[in-house]
Amino acid sequence: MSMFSPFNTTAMATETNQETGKLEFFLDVPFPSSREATMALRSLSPDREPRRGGISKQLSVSGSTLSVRWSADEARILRVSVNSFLDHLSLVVETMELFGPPVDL
Amino acid sequence: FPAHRGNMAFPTMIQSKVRILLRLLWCKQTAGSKAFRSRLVLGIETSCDETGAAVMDESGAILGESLHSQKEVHLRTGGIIPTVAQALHRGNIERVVQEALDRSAVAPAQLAAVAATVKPGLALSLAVGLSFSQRFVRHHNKPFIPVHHMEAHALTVRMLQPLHFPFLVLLVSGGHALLAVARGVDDFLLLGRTLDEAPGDTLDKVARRLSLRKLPRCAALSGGQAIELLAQDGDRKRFRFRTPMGQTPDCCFSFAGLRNQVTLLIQKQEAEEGVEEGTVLSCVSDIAAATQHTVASHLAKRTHRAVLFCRTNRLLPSQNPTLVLSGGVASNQYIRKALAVVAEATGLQLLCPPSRFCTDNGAMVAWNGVERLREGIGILAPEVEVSYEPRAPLGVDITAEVRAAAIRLPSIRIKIP
Repeated sequence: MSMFSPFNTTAMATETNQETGKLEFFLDVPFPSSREATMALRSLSPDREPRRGGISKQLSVSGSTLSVRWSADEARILRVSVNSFLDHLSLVVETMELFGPPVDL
Repeated sequence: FPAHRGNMAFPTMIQSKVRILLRLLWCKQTAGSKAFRSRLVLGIETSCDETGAAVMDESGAILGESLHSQKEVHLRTGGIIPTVAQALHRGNIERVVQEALDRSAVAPAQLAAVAATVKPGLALSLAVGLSFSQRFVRHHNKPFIPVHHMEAHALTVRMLQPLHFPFLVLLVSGGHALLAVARGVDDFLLLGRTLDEAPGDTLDKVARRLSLRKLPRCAALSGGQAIELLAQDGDRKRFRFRTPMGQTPDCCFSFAGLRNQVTLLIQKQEAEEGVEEGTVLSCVSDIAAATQHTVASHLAKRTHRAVLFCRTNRLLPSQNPTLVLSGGVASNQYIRKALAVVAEATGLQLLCPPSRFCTDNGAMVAWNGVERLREGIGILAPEVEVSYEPRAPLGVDITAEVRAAAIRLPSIRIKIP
């Protein structure tokens, strides 16, 4: 199952990986440039999952898109993780907005 | 608890967070010091003696523009020499286009289309703009929109403020004079045009014959601008000229006869003052004033007839009908006032773009590109061959119908303070 945004930019999808039986969740976030996507990546990477077991996620940047992949045992844990990640992501995007586009120093 | 594919419902909290994020991200992509709405068009103008380029968005906002005017060069030579104009276009076009792109911080890849003037104009000048544009669109693989110079002038006002079709437009410049009803982006009814010279050309030539360039305050001005400046201090009633085409009740124009009258008067005054041609006469301001007044009067009368024709034939809306004045000569404030008198007397709203958009520029071409892009008309693939046309009539010619109507004008006092 996948959900596409009204602007057809962000894609989200959930699947059950047949091999591992784990739930996988993908999120692609478009940024105006690859620089900004990378900045977001670096801000969000250090966050470890509070509950080590049962959930893991991977962040990567391709072009100007930040991609996040979750792998979880249970839907509830997945939901909590995605929720808190979105909060962090919102904070990052709002901060970037406040400071304006990246400048070369 | 296992969740099967397709059973996972997205919790509303996640959905709403995603929506907020999307709005934030989308705003980020479109906001900034220059907010732009979707598609961008590069407009290029080289029909006569100005090389212009501009990058514009669909709302008519100019993101960046550049202009190189050859006015100074041609003033020194006393007129436009086509080969000189061509050489100047060739030498400046790349720089002008690059400046427009740089100032708008837009890369060629981000453009939706390139629009360029292909008709009418000086063949050698048009050729430069067209060949540059074709190379550009083929190199960057962009759609190409050929633009009619007069159509671009006619629609300029729509770039600056909302104006609905149909409207009456008087276009007066160094190369053209015409009265038309604009009914759509590529739908025009031609009511009248000049039978010989264009008023801008007449004013320039009179200025040259009067040697106005020799006056310090006129040194940097074009002929028409010099006439306007001197006329301010002149007595327009001292010399009387006959308004052209008094016997022909149509909407066409003629300026050659007037110029002849002016030339004969100048010769007479030179004899009276005992000076050679090339010396500035003492009565130069009065001659300038009389010439300008007669040009304005002729334009006003033809326009008045055009309005009456339109009303009779229901060519204009009953709600807020509009007269648009555009082209280089429209920068002349005296002529604007004369048209304002006509507009007021006939119940029309007069609209005139600011001077910098009345003369040739890249922005009006970009805007015409935007209008065509929005309607999806006249957009060509880059590989299509396009030729320039030095002569290109505007719209559908109904000058004969106007002549047949033989409308007599009620008198209006053209009194300009």
